Amino acid sequence: MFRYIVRRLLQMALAFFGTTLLVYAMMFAAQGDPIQALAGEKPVSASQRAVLTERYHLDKTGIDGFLYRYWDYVSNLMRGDFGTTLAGRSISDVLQAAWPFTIKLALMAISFVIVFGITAGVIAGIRRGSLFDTTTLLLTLVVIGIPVFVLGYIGQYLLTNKWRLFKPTANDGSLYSLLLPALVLGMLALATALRLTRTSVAENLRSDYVRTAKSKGLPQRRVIGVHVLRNSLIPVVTYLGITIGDLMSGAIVTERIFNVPGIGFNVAKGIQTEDGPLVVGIISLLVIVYLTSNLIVDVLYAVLDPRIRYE
Amino acid sequence: MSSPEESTTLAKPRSLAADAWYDLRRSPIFWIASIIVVALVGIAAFPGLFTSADPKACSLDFRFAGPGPEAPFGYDVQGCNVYARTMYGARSSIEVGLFATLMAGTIAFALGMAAGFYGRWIDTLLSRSLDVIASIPLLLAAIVLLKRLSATGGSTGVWSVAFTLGVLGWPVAARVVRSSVISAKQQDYVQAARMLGAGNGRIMLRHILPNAMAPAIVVLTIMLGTVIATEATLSFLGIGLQPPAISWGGSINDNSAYVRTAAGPLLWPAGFLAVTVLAFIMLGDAIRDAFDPRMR
Repeated sequence: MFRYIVRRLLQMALAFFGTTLLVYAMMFAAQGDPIQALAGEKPVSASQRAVLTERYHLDKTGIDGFLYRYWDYVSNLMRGDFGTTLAGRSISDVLQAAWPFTIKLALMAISFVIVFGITAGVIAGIRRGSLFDTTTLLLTLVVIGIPVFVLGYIGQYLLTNKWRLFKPTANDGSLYSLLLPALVLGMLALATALRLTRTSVAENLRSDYVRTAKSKGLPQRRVIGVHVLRNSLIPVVTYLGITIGDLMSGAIVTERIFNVPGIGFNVAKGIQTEDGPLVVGIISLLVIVYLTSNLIVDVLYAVLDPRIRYE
Repeated sequence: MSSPEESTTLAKPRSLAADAWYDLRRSPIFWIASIIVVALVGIAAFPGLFTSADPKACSLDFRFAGPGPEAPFGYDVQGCNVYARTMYGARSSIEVGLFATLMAGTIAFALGMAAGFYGRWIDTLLSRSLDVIASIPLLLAAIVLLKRLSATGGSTGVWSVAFTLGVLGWPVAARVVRSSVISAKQQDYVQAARMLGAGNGRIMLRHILPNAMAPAIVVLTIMLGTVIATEATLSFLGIGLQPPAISWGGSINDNSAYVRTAAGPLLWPAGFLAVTVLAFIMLGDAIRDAFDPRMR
């Protein structure tokens, strides 16, 4: 177990440097004149240029200079400094104001996935071929096919406009107003988790240990609740880890549609106002969150499934 | 199997592909999805056949005007013909989807085959880079790269969006190619071919590639749907295709502020987008089921 976690941590460190290097290279490599780009149309005086050059180590050129500046970027990230927006506001401040909304939204979405997705998946897996099973299969296929932002607008149109169940925007951050955005955000993950649970349960129901448990005379409740469920949830837990990435990309769209002033909303705003540093700063953070959550899920996976440790 | 059929199978054994085709022909989902895909490719190739209206001829006189003979879906916020714009929007979606998937497929086959076949350090290098690229969610990476491309090249068009999604989208397919190459490499028939003196190139192209083909095509078909959805999301966020380019995501964005008063101009392109993405995903699913021997 310990060796597994250490190995996983080493992999995570590699992935951290790889992804940050990639993000950094995509955004900042081979930029023409970053100082002029910062100033826009305005002329830059020699002294300003000298200060900025020194601050951002722009005097170093070539691959050496690139790595030097990349190191600046990474060490700033590790200190929790995500840079400043074009307007001069610290991105950490922006994040501080935004993260409660996004965390609330993501937690609600994940609870929808766990409560509805897994429950319905287990029922569909037990009653394979039933009306409930075919209906959910069809519905989930449709949900998987529809992009999140289309789903968001359809949801907004139907539930806030036609039936007036919710308010169209959720900028006050109350749980009730976040209900619809969270449902939209979690819908794709819910559908996928449902299908995954269903397949997994159906497969496990046919296995030898279930037949043994049944022939021992264990009640159905225990066979399914303990034996089948524990084995079936392993792939679902892995999926939930991966899905955190989708939730964060989805939050950019959902928060924009429903005007939730969270982290994703700020990314969307940054794109619209062409605020490059804001977008890259937040996305760097999201990538780190994604890597960390994958790490946690992998460790959890080892707890759930002892076989993984000896691999 | 009856005896006459047996003699034909002996003469010409039915391959996995033929078997899969036999299954596919019986799958209603496959036919529905194919018909939708063919229709969409038709619309994308010749949008002029489906509408005689000019999608760029917009007049504020027609702002949110109802459906007319020229415009069965009515007019949008700028007074543009929603039907015409939806038809022409299919072109950018399909173009981005095809180019990006072709590109991702080419990279995936080249690198996946090399890594699976030669193994050793090539494999290690590729697998680690795959892990890195795959550990950034596609949409987030695409936003960063497109932001960069638009900063250098001005506006972003079909090519840069397709390039972005292709460059970022190949890891999934490459993993599939790599693992099927590794499993095919150890098969007896490959050993036999090598014994008979076949070179690396011949073994790869004639013996291993056909086996790696089916699973990769399934992944790439589904990827086509995902790419189209991602392109629309990017255009919706204002970082994908920029106006004057006509795209579904862009139309949805343009009309999003008015969804409470006029939902039609938003719902039509959204509906087409959803059906398109769904069709590619269903097609991929149907092909996978047909090629999966465990399903028989």
